[in-house]
Amino acid sequence: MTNKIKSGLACIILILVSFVALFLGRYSIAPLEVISTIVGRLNGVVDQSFNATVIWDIRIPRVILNVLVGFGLSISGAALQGIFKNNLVSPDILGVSSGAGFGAAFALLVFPKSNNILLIAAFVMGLVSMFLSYIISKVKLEDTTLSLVLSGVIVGSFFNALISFIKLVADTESVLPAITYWLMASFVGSSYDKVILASIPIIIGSLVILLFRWRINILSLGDEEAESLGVNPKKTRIILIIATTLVASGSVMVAGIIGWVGMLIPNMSREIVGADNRYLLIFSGIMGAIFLVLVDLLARTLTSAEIPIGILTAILGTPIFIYVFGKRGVK
Amino acid sequence: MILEVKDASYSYDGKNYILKDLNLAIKENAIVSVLGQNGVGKTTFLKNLIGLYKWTDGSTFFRGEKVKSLLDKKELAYVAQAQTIALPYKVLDLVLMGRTKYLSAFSSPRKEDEVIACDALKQVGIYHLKDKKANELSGGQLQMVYLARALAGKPKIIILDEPEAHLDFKNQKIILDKILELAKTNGITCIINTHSPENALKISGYTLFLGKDSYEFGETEKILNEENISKYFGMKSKIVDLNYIGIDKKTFVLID
Repeated sequence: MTNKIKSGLACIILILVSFVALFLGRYSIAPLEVISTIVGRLNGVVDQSFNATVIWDIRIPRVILNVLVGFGLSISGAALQGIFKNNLVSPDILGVSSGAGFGAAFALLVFPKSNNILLIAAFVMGLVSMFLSYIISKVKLEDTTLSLVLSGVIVGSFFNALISFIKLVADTESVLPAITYWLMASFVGSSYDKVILASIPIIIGSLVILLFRWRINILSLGDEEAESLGVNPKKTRIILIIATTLVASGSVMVAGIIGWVGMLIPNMSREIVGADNRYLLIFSGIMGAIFLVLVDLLARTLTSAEIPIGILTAILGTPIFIYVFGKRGVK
Repeated sequence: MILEVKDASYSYDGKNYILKDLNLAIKENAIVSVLGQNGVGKTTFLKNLIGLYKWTDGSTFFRGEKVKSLLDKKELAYVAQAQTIALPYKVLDLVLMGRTKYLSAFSSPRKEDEVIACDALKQVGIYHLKDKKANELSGGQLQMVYLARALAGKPKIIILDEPEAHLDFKNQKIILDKILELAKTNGITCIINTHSPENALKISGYTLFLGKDSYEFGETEKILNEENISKYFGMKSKIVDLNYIGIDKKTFVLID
């Protein structure tokens, strides 16, 4: 099977899974009704029934967000693994999620009523932590990937400390649970506004990553080899870091901190389509979208109270991770 | 002259010079060996020559023109010292990477690049490996892949850093013969680092000796002699002409 066919198959599975996610839920809707509602809406019939509202205003934006965030986390994880030459790298390598988490927690503390400020604060702080990591890595003269990773750890733990501080001073009745819940990630409250807001950075960033797919191959060989093949590693790396941070911040802002997906899915995909980023990037994105639609389906159907998705990805991620790495053997 | 180095020096720390006042000129289609002990600065010399490092003083000239770096020139290919590769790229993909200088930042290799990469694999004689994963190859095979990758860029100069290091006798011979053959048929100038005077004698028209405080550049015939081996390697040796037993070959015998 060629990689093109594999990607095509993954696309079909994604469409099927997304469709199933529309009629399954705590409130089940018959598949035919889902189809007739969508077809009706596309033909201009505005159906005001309860079912139509559930499908149209709750489930469709939620599934679209699942797809966007799953795609974004996985494609940026795959790209970063190439750039940093390490398969254990995930999108928060430069402290992006901790920064975004701090932004969200701060917004919840100071402006508990405004959802928009939360989104913007999370997004901006995600970008800020990436830039901080980059600047700190410049303190050492060598522009190595290792110093970038170290700065990412520093920035990440700094923002984690700030998050703890905000939790400490937050009102334990209302604000603290809100912060805790946000940090565990959830797609509750998905709306078309969020879809639009998230899609801008995720799509722009992903496009840049995909345009550079061949260059990511070259960067994965290391700086000297990249240079001798005619690629400027420093310039290319910073463009890609900005692009991946756009995607990761866009994802974190609407969903919260979802661990594992961005590290796990590219590794699974590498087993299926190989290491070549010309195929790996897009394939990881589609696999990530499938994975997140499925996990979110579990999150909202498994128990009577919804489980935060960040908890589920971590619980499911561990055994899958052990399986993927066990299968490959130690290298 | 395809390459020249004028008044070039290099220091890692600004105080101690590892290379000092080098002057040499390399003719088109020449094959040059760079000989010296471990740690004397052979790799440092190559990296400065092509621009991976920047000369502290002096510069490199390419076809008479002063250049900061040769790395973005299509005419140059560089094969670094025996690397291993961790990522499971296919051999063909790895060779395709040699076409990157011909691609814009946003594009991936096209069909014609693939044809050229396949030709390069055939020329090196490893076309049958094209779908193998690079991390599963032996050291000798991987070195051949890197040679094919260099060739895929259609270079005029190939710079190789100890291409035969870590290989057994037979693979050393295979790779050196291949380099020699490819250089001749494609009209490529080769600069090869080696610590084996025997290999230098076998393949190169010119030799650059690098020592702690001195260097010598000239035709291999003239300067690759017992005296220089003792000067640059600190070893007594004898060059034996095997003509008397009917073999048209010279070889080194160490007598220390």
